[in-house]
Amino acid sequence: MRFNAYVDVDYWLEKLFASFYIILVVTFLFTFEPLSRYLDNIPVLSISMPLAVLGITVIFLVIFLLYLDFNYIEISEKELRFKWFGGEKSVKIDDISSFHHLGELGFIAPLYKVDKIRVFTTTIIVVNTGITSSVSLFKISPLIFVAFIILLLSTIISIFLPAHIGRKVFAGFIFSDAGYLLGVLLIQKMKPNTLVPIIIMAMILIIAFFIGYYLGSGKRWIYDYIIIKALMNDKEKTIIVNGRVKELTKFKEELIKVMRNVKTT
Amino acid sequence: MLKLPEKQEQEWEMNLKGLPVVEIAEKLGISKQAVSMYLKQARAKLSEIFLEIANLMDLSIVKLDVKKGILIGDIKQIGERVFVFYIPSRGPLTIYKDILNTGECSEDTNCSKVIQFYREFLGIKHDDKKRLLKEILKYAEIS
Repeated sequence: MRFNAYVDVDYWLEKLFASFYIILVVTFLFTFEPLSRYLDNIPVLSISMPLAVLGITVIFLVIFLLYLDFNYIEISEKELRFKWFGGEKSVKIDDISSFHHLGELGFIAPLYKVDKIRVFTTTIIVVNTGITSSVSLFKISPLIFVAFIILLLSTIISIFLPAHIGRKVFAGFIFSDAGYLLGVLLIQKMKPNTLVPIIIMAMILIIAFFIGYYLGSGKRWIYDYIIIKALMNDKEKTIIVNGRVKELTKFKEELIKVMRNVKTT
Repeated sequence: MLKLPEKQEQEWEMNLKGLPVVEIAEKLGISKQAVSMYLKQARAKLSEIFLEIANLMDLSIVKLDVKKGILIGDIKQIGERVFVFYIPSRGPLTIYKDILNTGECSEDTNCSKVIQFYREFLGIKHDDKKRLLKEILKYAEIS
């Protein structure tokens, strides 16, 4: 039986995203004075840097487009089959040592321990956005900069909350972070030293937080993950199956059904 | 019967405690292939046991880990979260998440037996039952 879901092995996609964002931030740091002025004086670097970034971006995009093709997983009585780099891979059902439904786990354990995938990628994006936006915010106003740093810290702290609470609060803060950056763009054009920009900003933050909190508190996510640990070529690998909750639930039921039929003798 | 055969359980427990296949083979004086085969059979049997329990209790499975001997699920009829631990020489024992609120964990309950095993297994020093339970359930979720 075939299911529509994206398959990742050993958090490969997360590692790809992380390295891409880190490269972007490092490149951004090179644009700072006086480093950029110094680099501009070296003709080879001033030309090769943008070219290198462009090259890396193209490579990442090509790999990501290839990944988009890994969009199914099949279950038969004996094995799981899915597309991966180098062709179709298979895992024997009796080599599966564990599986769990990510979005439903985490009543006691903290969010960062349970939901590594979502937290890892999102935290990297948030921290990187923080680094890249902070300078511009500081130039607008040190107070705006401090408020943003507090918001970022609160976002990061929320990943230490128990996962079932952390998911909502974390999502709330992520939306607030984005709302704050949008809000700064809006209030910049208004008259300073009046109550209006403060009220607008406060409203944006509260509304954004509650939208995020509401989306994070959905009993069932629209998209979720099933994490399977199994032996592949005598090595334990983590297979991450990502898709719509309805499809994943059917996949889980089928997986349970075939695991039930594994012979023990 | 909802229990592993003695030989399989012995090797599964050694593996659970972190012993690699080579060391288990040396300790028991059997080949690596034999250990791997016993472990595979033990995991298949555990999978069968846990899936049977899930069926009996009408659980929606959230996590199944036959390497660690852990099953987490929600009872479909009442929505209560249940943790099932396979404890060597005792078999599968259940703990309801709600026990963290009630704090009732008397000597003759499953909860006490699970605590007894995991206290040693996780190297926990203190005796606070509520804290112990919290640490054990947390281990079950993240391991």
